[in-house]
Amino acid sequence: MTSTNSVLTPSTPDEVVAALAADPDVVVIGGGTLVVPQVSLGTPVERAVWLGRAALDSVDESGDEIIVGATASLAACSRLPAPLGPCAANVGDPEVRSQATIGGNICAPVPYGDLRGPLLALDASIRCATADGERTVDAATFFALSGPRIALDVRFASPAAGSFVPLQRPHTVSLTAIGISAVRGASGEVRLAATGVAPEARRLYAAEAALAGGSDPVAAADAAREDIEPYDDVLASAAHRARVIPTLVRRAIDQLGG
Amino acid sequence: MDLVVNAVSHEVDSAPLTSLLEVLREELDITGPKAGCETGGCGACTVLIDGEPRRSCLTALCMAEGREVTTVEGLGTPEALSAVQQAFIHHYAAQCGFCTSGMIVASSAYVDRGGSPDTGAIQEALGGHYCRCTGYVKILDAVAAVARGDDADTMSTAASPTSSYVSIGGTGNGGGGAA
Repeated sequence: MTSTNSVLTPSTPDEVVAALAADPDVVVIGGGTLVVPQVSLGTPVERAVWLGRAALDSVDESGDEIIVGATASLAACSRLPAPLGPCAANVGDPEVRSQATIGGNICAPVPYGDLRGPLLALDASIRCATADGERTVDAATFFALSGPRIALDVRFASPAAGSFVPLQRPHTVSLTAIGISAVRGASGEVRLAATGVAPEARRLYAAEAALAGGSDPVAAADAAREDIEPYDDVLASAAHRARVIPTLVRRAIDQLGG
Repeated sequence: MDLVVNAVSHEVDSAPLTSLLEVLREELDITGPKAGCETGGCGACTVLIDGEPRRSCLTALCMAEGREVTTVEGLGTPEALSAVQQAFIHHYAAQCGFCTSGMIVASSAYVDRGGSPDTGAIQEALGGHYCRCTGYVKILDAVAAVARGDDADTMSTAASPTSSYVSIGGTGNGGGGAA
């Protein structure tokens, strides 16, 4: 049987911020899809904070920015514009997507965390709690935070166009090896980002620059090689990643249209 | 902590982060939900929470408090099986049976929300459920039949796997299936 544990259940975002400040080592649970199996497999969790009642699950598309609460499910996120929507819809299966949250996804270690790619491409900002209190940072900064942190919400400008191209997977493999996200912003600029092309999610700046300089999609996708560090893991070999990444990048650019 | 399972309220003693699967099977002896991978990958532990299919291995006890949990035991009785349960018998949609309770629970939620008999839609809805006997065709047949509103006759099966086996396999000397 599981050892005794205590679970704090904050009812407001402010209480979440206070909970982390009071106990920076607390284990954070969003939908439970990552922490609960760890508990079952024997990882002791003495103190946890569960965000499921913290009023952080709204998805607001009414303003200039789309604001997605950290405990919005991936099923809810799958209805948002590309690249975020199709990326969320590509995670796991319908039941996992109904339970897993965007905040949990972007805080989970690789090979989880597919949504980091779309959020980098969308140039999202993330309101979060840290041990020092609440702050808002850009997505890349949030992903690089090393200390305790809890995402509260994610916000980004609705893109003029977006696309998401994953390396396809069979239904018995629940993780995606590579995901390419492309966004065309309001002023026509194209941003590209990817998961699975390097040990951490990253922008594909060289390919962006090539597109901005007038290169065609094939040449721009080839330039993406400058920003990748293919690696071996159980999902794909480095050699396979290196081979398919330019093709996936080219498809993502093509799907932007225009 | 109080936990409502199949419309019965239970006082349970497990720690709040204990998986609902473990509480159901080990504390309450409700063994319809199967402990397969216990990491959310296989679907065998699926239950309904407030009518929505959820992995009981990914759900902590504290998340289920105040909700209505329904396991396969709560969908029908041996005397009055649910439409999906009848269809699984009629269409021979179980082999070893390990995935069956999760398949039936998820399929019940699918047809209850008006899911279509389209094979692709059923495949998407059941995409998180693995049948390691690979008996997917019969499962898809059963769910499609319920979605279409077909009558199911639990005293017979919809098609004869044996006859099709023989027609493909010739004289049937290659194994026990047609013997």
